[in-house]
Formats: sequence, C-alpha cells, structure tokens
Amino acid sequence: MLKKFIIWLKGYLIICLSGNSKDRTINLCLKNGINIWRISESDGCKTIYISKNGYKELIPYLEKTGTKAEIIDKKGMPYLFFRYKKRKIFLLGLLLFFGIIYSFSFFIWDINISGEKIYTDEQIIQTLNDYNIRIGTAKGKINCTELEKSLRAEYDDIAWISCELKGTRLNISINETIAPDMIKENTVPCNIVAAKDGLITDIYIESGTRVAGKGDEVKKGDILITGAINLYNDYDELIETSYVPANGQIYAVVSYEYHDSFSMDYYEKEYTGNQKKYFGLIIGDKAIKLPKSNKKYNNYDIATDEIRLKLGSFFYLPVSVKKSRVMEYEPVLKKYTDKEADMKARNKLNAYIEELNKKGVEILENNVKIEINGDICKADGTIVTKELIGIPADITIINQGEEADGIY
Amino acid sequence: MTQVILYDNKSVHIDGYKNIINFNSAKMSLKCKDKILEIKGNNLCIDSFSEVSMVVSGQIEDISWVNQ
Repeated sequence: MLKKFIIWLKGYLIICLSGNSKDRTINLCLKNGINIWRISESDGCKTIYISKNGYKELIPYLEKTGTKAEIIDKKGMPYLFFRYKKRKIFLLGLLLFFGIIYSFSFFIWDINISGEKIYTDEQIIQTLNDYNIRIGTAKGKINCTELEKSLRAEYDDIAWISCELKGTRLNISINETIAPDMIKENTVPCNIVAAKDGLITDIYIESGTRVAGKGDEVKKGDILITGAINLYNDYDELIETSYVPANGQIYAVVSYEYHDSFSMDYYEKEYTGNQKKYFGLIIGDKAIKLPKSNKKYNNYDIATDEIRLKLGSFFYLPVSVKKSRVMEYEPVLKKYTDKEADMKARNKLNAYIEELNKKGVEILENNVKIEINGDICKADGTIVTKELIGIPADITIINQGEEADGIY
Repeated sequence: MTQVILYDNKSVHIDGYKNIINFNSAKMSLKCKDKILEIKGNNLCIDSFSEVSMVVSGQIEDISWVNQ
C-alpha cells in the first residue's frame, strides 16, 4: 500500500511499446534496474507501467533497439498538479481542505471511555464537561496527568485511571473498585435505626447503648442502638448524658412480599421484510437529516448506527454518518402455553432474587407460588431473608435541663 | 536453480530466471539456467519483476520446460 502511494507520489507513465525488439527492451530495463511493472500485451503492443524517472532512463534503450514508445497515460501527483495548475480555485480548495484537516489535528474529536461498570459514560463525560473538556477542545489545553488526578478525586470508587491522547481521540481507561457493602464508621453522634421491618437475630454493638435485643420485632425507623449514653449515680438518678456515634451490626429476618402477574396473551413482532434506509450527517453537535422516502409503516423498529469518520486509526473527524434502518413488522397475537408462562414467571422471580443477592442478603425461604388462572399468570408469596438492617440516623442532642422528645 | 511456484491457475512466481525470450498475452518464454520455461495461457501479464524473480498473472493453462 505504502509502496503504491510512493509510486503515485513520484508519478508514473503507462506506455505502449511497439516494434520488433520489445522483449529486448524489457530485458534491457531489467538488466539496468529500470523500474517497470504490469507488463501486458494487446494488439501487438506491449503495455508497461514505468516510473517517471525510469522513462528518462528508458529513452536511450528505445533508440538502441529501435522500439517505439507511445505514452498512453500519465498518473500520479506531479501530473495531477500540472493538469490543474491553471485551475487556481481548485488548487486553493485543495490546499484549504488539507489545511482544515491539519487544523483538526489540534483538537479532540472523540472521547473513548472504557472499563467503567458503576458509572456511566454520560456521568464521566458530564464531569469532563465541568472541567471544560468536551469534543472540540484544543489538545493543548488538556493535561492528562491533572485530569487523572481530578477524576480520581471526583470518584472515590475509581482505583486506577489512565488518560491518553491518541491522534484526535481522548482515551480514558478506568478500573473501578468494588467496595464491600459495609456500614461506614460515623464520626458524629448518631443512632442506629432499622432500615426495614424485621425480627432481630443477632446484634453486635461497638459503641452506644442497646435499645433493641435479639428476638425483638422491629419496625422501620425504630432505634436499635442509641448514641446517647446515660450515667446514673447509686440512687439511679441521671447524672449526665453523653453522645457518641452509635456503631454496630444488627442482623434481622426480613420478609419481602412478592407479587407479579402478566397476561397469557402477548404480541410478537413478525418482521415483514419491508425496510427502508436513510442517512444523516452529524457535524459537531448538529444533525443534518438527509431526505428520506415518504413511505410510512404502521408498526416499525428503527436500528441506528453511527459511524465516526476517521483518517487512519486515530485521526477522528468531527463528522459522523448516521445510518438508520426502519423495519416494518406485524404484531401477531399469541398465547403462552402453561409451561412457557411458568418459565417466564420463574425467570422474573429468579431475577428478583438475584437482585436481592447482589445486596448481600441471605435467602432463608422462598414461599412464592406460581398459578395460572384463566388468562392471567400470577406469582405471589414471600421471600424470607437474613440481612443487616441498621443504618445511621440523626440524634437529637438534649442539653441539660431540656426534655427528650421521642428518643427513648 | 529455478523455482516455479503456482498460485492456483491465476498467478505464477518464477525465481531464478535469466531473461525474457519472448512474451505475449498467450505465451511467454523465459530463459533459465539450463532450459527454457514456457508459460501458456490467456491475458498473461507480468505483474512485477526484478533481476532474479518475476510474477506473472492471468489465466495460466500450461507450464513446461523446453530444451534449449
């Protein structure tokens, strides 16, 4: 590819050799290192491709062998410039084009974020926008080391981050930490309250005063450990109340009511095979819609691809081609079989249980029953779990002489 | 030594030839060390060549050695 481009850059000729010593001429080229290629024959004439400089070297051998050479075509950049030397506007346009392309190389036209799981691309791009880094920002204004530091300070969950400018693309690679679900240690006085209704099975107190105990049934919002520590004298009179950040782990059995139902009838898309395509251009932030056909479908899906134009591997341009495909479909009414309905309900239940598992809860019982009544499939029941239910909550600090309201 | 490598019937690479005796779109004769290599076919074309090797493309039908 590169070799072909260099040949084009230097210019080459397509010539037709005629006479009695064509083969001898070719052999002479070969022996004298004249660069010729693509030799073919038609109508008694041998067509050869020869470099611009090679042709100058060939002339003495043509005279020596008595071969005639007719130039069929001239190709390559020197001839292109020669051909258009009088077309000043064209040349100006060409120079302008290369100038614009060159000036594009000073800006970033694409931001690629990889490795994120917790955060979305949009969140990170929004943060970059807050730092005045967006598509179209001059590359000179971006300090990758500073950007890495800022992003690391912004997102606590990012363990490692790398920013790199490659061509006109800003690559951001992220490695997120998966923090275990744990109760953060509090530094200011607080209570620990129940996050949901449940039956306490275990309670471990690190600081504060126990309010609820093992076997107690608690409601959401009930205080489990208080941050208020009362000091009494020998006569059980309150001397002093001090406030500490309550800390501890409270495990409880929690019941989740599960209700789900869906109709046994459903619509399935059957694609008719009719489809139409239309294209659009996105230049910077502006979308330009190209004319599309007026044919309209009642039911359709649209699949859109956006192709960012680039030169080479990393020279992204601020122009994208949007290709949309509109596919017509007919909604066909269908009915689940009992087995299919049971499977669907079970899958939804499993997805729900999986979500609970992700939160770190332990599933003790699954009492959900799936029933099909006529046109409705129902899944009802309870899921019993064991989990941490204590969360920090504000404490009302009462100064001496004031009455406590609703704390104890 | 002359080496002849055939890629299907579309291209042939000849390594170690001496010079071209004659060449047209249907037949090509190359002088090698001891013998002459004859390539027959249609639309024969020398894609590239150097002092020692050559690539001929086209619809190759026959390749044979002929005594000098």
